[in-house]
Amino acid sequence: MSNGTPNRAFEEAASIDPGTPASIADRDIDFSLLEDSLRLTPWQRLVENDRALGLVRMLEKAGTRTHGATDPDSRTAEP
Amino acid sequence: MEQLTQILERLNRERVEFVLVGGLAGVFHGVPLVTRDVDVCLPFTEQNLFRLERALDGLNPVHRQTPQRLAFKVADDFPRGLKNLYLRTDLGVLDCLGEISGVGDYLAVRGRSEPAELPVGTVHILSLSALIDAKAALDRTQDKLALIHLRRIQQARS
Repeated sequence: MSNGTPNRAFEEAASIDPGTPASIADRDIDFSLLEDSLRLTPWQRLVENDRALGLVRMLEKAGTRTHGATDPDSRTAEP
Repeated sequence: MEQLTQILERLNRERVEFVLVGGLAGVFHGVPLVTRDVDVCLPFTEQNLFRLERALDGLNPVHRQTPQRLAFKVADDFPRGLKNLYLRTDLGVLDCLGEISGVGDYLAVRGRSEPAELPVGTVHILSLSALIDAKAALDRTQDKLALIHLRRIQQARS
């Protein structure tokens, strides 16, 4: 993750060759999230993913209510 | 609400033979990126597909890449030679893959997996090195960040 906007972070990630030396590839990536993750047990990580996914879905629904659906997949994603 | 861990629990309960791969396997190893689906590699045998169907019973599984969202049903006329199933269930997305790029078919994937004792039972999970090979082989933009994290984890373990 970068300190910039999510879109910028995504573009930067896309431009990185993961095979390049770590000092270059690791720029702008907040590894404290990785360190936090590695403190959890594997099962705790999976449960945290479920929780985070629930939050993501809640925010997506709120965004859709506010701005309408912009992604075709988001309209079909509801169970 | 999506509960990807419940999908794992159901697969285990019905003794579906599978290996957890993809983003959730990355989360297992420590990747701090939220993933939205469960990717598993499994043998597409008739017995295993019937077990998969039982595991998803009541979750309204549909083929999410068909325009009509066809219901997932393993009947006698179920197509033979299938390699992948892309499903949506009430608990979340479940992608079933017959082989994994960079690793190989189910047997190769199983050979590079490790059993993990989880509250939902024993789950075979693609090893860290195999997951790195798989992500590197895909060379997709969406995987590059995960790949960087996976390599960091590998460094930390060595």
